Amino acid sequence: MRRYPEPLFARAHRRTRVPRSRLFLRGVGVAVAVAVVATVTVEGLGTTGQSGRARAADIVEIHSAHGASYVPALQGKRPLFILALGSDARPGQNIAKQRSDSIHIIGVDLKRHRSTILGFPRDSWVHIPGHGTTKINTAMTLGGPPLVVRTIESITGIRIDFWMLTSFGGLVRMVNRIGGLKVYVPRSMHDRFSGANFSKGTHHFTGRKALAFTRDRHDVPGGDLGRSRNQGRLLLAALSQLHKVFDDDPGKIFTWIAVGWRNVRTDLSLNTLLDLALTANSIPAKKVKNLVVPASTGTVGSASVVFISSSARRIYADMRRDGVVG
Amino acid sequence: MFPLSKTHAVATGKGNAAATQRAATGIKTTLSAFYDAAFMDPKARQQGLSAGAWNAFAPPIQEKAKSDAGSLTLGEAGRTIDQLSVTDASLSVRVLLDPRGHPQAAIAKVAFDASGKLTGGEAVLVSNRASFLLRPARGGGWLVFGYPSAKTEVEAPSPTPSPSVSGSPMPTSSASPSSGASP
Repeated sequence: MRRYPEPLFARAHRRTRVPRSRLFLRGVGVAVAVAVVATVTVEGLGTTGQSGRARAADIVEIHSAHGASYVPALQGKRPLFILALGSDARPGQNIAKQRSDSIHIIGVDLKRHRSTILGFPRDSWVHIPGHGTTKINTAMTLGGPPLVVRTIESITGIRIDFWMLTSFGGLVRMVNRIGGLKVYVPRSMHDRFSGANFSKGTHHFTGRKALAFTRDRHDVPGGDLGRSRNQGRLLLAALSQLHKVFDDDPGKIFTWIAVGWRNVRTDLSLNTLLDLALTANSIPAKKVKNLVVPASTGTVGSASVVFISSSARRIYADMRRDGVVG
Repeated sequence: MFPLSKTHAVATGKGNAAATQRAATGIKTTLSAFYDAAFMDPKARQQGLSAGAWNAFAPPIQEKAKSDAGSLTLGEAGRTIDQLSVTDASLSVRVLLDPRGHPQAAIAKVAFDASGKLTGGEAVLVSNRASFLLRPARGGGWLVFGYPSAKTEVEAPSPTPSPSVSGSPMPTSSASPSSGASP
């Protein structure tokens, strides 16, 4: 297992500091209520307000109201790369020895708090170190997650720091345990194979629906490529929800970590997983790009495959530099 | 000392009630010492917190914490306060346990209220609400390594109710607004 070499927690994710305020409020009860609300949503109290025509006897002057936030995040001179894998293992099978249906590099620019998710279609026709050229999803059956890491590294030149692997069941359980996910479905999906049956728009997904959304390749643009993009959309939805949960109650991040730990195999330590979760909390969803390697479909013999375009090399080079594309 | 109002373990493997309780007690000790210095110590109110009081925070974030003294302590407002008594204080702790049941991190939520008098004799109310991220220190005990939220409010009820209902702002009282600078 590789250890990320940079020191942890030297960079702060600093949120809005509440400016010194002079507020005029009706009664102590209101003042306390506002104080409590302000504690929960610090960002929401950045302005000065007045209650207007209040009875003088009820007026309380707040001389000072200061809010601050410091959430530590990983720091490093070089970007961080995580390989997120989804196994197609069925119940009872070893998830690390089945095919990887979902393959994404998550690059993180630790300096600028931004990220890129780069998906690889599972049928990508690639060279697997020591095993010749075949579909990328077979790498895991041949050598587990470490071989998928080596394969991705040899394709992209990107050094993967950590890998994380889950299964169909793991995904379903995780989504259910965090209360579901709000996901934008860019176009209607009606696929009897995956069970995806969604109209265009925002949906609240249970675990089962999330799984169907990420498995459907029959009626999404680009087939396998579109599916990979939808898998990235689910990761983005999880990031957005993490932000909301943490803002509401920072302690709930432990629940997420525990749920993840129970349903994911990884070479991360629990402490590093916490570091990553806190770092993810410092990355706004709008600063995350969700991409799939440029590719085209074709056949090799009787097998339907995906050929990664040579233009992908520019994307790899861009990501290597700072973890993100663009 | 804070009363522990709630202790909760989040287990990634087996639970460990005894370790969770020990962790909560250690966190209570760390935060109680800090709050005593930050709010209740008359000398610290006048002269600023001693360097040792900031040892509740992990060394890499001590300077950052000092720069947020206005939110984590009474800050400059402390200079105008003569007496202060705790009216309510509570601490709830959530502990993350590793698969073997060892505490790895914790999040503590603090509610602290106090009342007292300004140097001019006026009544003053102090309220602090904060959440802290903590990890076990190598030598034992717990250290703060983050504070997702921290807010201190110092309020002084208007000393002389004005008959005016014009809606114009009340004049600033003798308690100077906190600057947020390090004490």
